[in-house]
Amino acid sequence: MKENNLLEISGLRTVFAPKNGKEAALVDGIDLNIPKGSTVGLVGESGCGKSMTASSIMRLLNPPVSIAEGQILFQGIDLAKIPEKEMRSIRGQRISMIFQEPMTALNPSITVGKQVREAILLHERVSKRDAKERVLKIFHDVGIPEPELRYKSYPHQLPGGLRQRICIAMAMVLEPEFLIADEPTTALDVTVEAQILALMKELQSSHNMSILMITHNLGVVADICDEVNVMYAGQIVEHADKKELFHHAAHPYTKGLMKAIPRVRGDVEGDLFTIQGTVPTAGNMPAGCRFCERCPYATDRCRREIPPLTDLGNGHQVRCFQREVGT
Amino acid sequence: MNESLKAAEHSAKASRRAAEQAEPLVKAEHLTRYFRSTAGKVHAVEDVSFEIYPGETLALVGESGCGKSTLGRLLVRLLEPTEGTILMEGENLTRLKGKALRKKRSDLQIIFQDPFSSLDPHFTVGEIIAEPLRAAGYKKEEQEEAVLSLMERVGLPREYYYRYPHQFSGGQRQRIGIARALALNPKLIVCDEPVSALDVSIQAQILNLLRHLQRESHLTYLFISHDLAVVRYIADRICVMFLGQLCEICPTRDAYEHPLHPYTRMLIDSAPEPDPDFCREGRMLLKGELPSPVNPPSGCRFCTRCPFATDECRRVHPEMKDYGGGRFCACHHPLT
Repeated sequence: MKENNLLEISGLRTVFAPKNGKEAALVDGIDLNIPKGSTVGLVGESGCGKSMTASSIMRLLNPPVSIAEGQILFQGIDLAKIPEKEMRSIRGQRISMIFQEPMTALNPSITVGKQVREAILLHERVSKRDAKERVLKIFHDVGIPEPELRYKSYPHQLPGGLRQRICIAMAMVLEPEFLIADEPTTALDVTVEAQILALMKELQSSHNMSILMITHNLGVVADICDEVNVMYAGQIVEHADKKELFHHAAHPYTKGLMKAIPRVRGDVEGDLFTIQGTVPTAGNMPAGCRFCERCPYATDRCRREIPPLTDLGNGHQVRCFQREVGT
Repeated sequence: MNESLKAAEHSAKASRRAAEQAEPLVKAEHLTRYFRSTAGKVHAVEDVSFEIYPGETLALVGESGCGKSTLGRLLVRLLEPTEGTILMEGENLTRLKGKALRKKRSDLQIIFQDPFSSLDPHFTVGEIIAEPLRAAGYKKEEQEEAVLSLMERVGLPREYYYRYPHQFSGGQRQRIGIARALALNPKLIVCDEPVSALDVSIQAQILNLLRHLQRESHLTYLFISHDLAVVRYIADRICVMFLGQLCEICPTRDAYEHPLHPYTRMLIDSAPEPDPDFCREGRMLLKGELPSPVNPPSGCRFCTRCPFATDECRRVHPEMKDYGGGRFCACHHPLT
């Protein structure tokens, strides 16, 4: 494990394997590094396996989904192998997670204060009163107005933005080294999204933690990430530093995504660029490159062989045979 | 495309609108809708007036809970207004009842956000698209022919006719919803967040389709969206809504480049930009949360979140004023 990496995933394969059915890989052999103190983006469309990657790290998989192969090294501990009991002491304390939908992530019948306090009481031997003090402090830190009052609120009494702040407070209260954020702003309005992203940036630098930011939104990536991994159909197809990726995207899929989005600041004349077709489903993957059926540059070789992740220098990696084309 | 061409297209659009200025397709006047809830009267839409011109795309933007979907539903009469009138080509829609209303419904269609819950899972694609035709009294043979031609227009292969919605992806389902909305050649289509549930690569396909259909059939859209990038791409004009009321109406480009209302500016400044070099400093960002529509602030509804609010704003409700060039704004201290 490299000195400056907090987490190293290598060859992770998470499969859906029903008893009497065909096995399908949802995450198919990914390598992913999270350097200490940085924000790494994992970008892709729905069904590409990005949330499955997060659930694999957190070990939140339910049968028939399970980790089939690979290592998830977190500070020298292989999360893919350790027993559940040991995982329980890491989950929530050293690695925590925030989810897309703050309404379903919270228990509707318990006040938000108690829910956040529960996280402390579960992991540490402290008095309820001390735990409450810490909850009020973290509520204040994540910008919840009137923490004392909000402590006694139920989730449905709060607007979406505040609910997400509660979830962030719950994830942050034990000062984890690593935070996984799974589409944390997708369900929020742009005005609140901007606030939440600003808060996450602030918390990251004040706590010096690492963040894995899972999103489909390239605007969020441009705002908050240091490096980016683009995922397609269970594989990572491109990895680069943020600026490198936006300025010199090499994979036809990444390039297509960038061209397909309309811009808030600038006009697009004529039609938007489109990527033809749809994502192949797990279990029906093409034999070669997974993007070949939608790729304008695909050749016979692309349809036959799976391209390896190739290094272009500066840590920019791409999974494509035709990366010279159309640049 | 170079600047002068852009400007030419822009002014062509503007003059097209000017020519049509005389005859709006839809004219909403003082539309109001309250809901009763356990917490009290919800001011979902209050005293909203605007016009939609034939062939244009008018976007309705605002945060969730601002009343934009309620307003869309009022226009196609899925909801009854508490007060106010909707005139379509001079005819008062709010007065229509029974048979006359049912006949008028063919002119008013809606495309919903969620392509999963808006299609009946028991019906085949053919039946779903034929439903409005059947309701309008078309014969069986006519229906089938019309459905096949509609499927072709929205890019669905003929062989999907006998398939069921669950066999399709979100993008394909949205095409089915669009075909259904087009079936009776409506004059107005309300598109309620039609691409919000779709992935980026599919979103572009559907936006292109909506534009092509509009050009082909001179359709008029009321496009409800919270995505300001999508709106900039598709809309000719924009209505910005805050807490049940309109704060600004203007041509799309003006809203993005010279907004008059502070809320418009803040909404646009909040939108994430897929550009790592984009300067995020100096943006005007909103603080706090949306006030409750049960007890909206007196005076200007935006006053509790507005950095420029004065005593006047807290006391006096600002009227919608005409700033020329098709720009309207309801603010005591508009940006210059």
